[in-house]
Amino acid sequence: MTGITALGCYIPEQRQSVQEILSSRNCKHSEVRFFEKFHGLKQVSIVPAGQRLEESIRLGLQTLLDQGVTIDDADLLIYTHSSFLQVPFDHQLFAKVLGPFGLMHLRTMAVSQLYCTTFIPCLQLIERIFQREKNMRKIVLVCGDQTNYMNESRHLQEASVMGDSVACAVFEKDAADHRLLSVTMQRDTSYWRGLQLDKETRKQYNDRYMDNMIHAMETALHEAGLFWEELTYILPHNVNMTTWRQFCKKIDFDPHRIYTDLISEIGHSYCADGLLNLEPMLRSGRMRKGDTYLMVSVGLGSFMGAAVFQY
Amino acid sequence: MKFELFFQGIAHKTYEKRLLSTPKEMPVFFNEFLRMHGLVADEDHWQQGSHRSYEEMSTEAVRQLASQHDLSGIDLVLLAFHMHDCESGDAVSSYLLHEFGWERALSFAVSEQSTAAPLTALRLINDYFVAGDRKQALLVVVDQTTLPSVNTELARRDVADSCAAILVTHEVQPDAPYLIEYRYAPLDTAELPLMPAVRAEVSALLDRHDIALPDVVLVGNSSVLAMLRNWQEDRLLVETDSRHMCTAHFFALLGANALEHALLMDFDGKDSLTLVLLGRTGSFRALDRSVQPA
Repeated sequence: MTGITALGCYIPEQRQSVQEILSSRNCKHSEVRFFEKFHGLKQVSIVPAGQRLEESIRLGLQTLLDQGVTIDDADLLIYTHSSFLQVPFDHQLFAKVLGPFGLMHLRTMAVSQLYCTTFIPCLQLIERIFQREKNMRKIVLVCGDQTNYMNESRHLQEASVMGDSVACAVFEKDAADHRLLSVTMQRDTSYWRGLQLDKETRKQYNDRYMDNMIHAMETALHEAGLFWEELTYILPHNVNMTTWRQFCKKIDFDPHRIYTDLISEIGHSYCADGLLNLEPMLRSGRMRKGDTYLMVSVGLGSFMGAAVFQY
Repeated sequence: MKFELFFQGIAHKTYEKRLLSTPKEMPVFFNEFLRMHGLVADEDHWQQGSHRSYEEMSTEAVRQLASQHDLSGIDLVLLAFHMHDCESGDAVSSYLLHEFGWERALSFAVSEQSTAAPLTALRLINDYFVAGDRKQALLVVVDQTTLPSVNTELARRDVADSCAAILVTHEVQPDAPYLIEYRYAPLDTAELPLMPAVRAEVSALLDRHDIALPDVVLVGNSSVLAMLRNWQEDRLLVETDSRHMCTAHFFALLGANALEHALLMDFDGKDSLTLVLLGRTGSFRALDRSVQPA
């Protein structure tokens, strides 16, 4: 069964406060207070000024190599991102990322256009590739966005603040740990305008947001043959705390089984939240062998994706 | 390896230059974005661009395809591109699902593969077909030229805006062109010089399927075909139009007198060769549902 065999995350040390981000968008102080007090968002991680995407991805891959993980035998490297425009045309991103590591022989591609859920269909894609390609055994998935070229884009109106990070995971066929039990993608494309929704449509989107997300989660659980009570943890998207408080109330879920520590620490990291949340759970020993966990993400557009793993 | 991908229809269009009647301001973020990469946005290029978005071009092509084919069963939509959309805030794959009512379809985009993106997309569609959970797919391939670029090669080639929408299905179709093999071949030029390395890859691929070289049309750009001259007959070498990037192979196939087999070849100019072997390509022209110029 397809599973994760190695994980490395690059979270920049530098932070930018919610106050700074919202001030640059001319938001009122009351909105800053709302983000901090109710959404539980305090700050985001940001890459140093002038640091380019290829440098950030290299730092992400370096965290894998520092653990002694071998990736030069990977059959494919997939880079996935939420923001549509991440590098200029003909930037040769992969050459700039892989050249210094002597990994230019790796086959590469990018997957995008599903906003912050893009990570989830990549899981399905990896599963499909392994199913068909008998001789492919290892795929590296890199999730990463950075918007240090425009501060204003870190603010998602009324909802969240977004920071820079890179998460890298190695997926292998017949993995013993972190086995992918199910993955589901759902959509409600009436909101395809994404960031450009008018106020009324955005309200509709927000009204249906929770039910749509829960439906995707329940579908993934059902496909994994699990019930809510059998699920050990949820590794959420880090959009805000309000979502997860409402979620727990709505389905009577124990909040201690949702890992939300990073929400106040680094905010929402586009499509990388799921993997970023997994790393401290493993490092701290909080997650144990046999535990099941569900990663969920919701993207503008709108897309809802969920995947269930077993450690 | 199992391949069950059949071509059902193609709609395509190359657009003529279009000048904006009123100037359109270049987004601030784009300038900032380029500056971070040490580049300067070419304001003139932006103003003179056609501003034909992915949405505009793909809608036109898919509508044309829909007028000839039943697209109600589409359950997978892939977008392949090399140059980014000039309307960078829109998720075109999501828009297409909404516009054409494919609410249950999966969609995403494949890029950062230069002009090999649509060939890889074909192989990914096939992966989904073989897995059994998708039956009918739409591949939308777009080239657009509005965003300022520092690539002078593009200006020299006078690259055009173009789009191809290709309907493929999992169901066996006795008369339809089909995918025989997709192969990505990293070339070890330390081991073998480039020209013999490319020829060896082509030979090995054809041998695996008992196909003789004189029975195959080889489709590629001028640099890859240069390595095949005096090896393959000239009449069986089809050069892609330099005004096209990702759409080039499909335009070439529709314009070629294809034999039973065609081999689409994408070479990155260094060491990366992507090959897509197709069967029954003689019937490719029958798929043609060109979008008529307005």
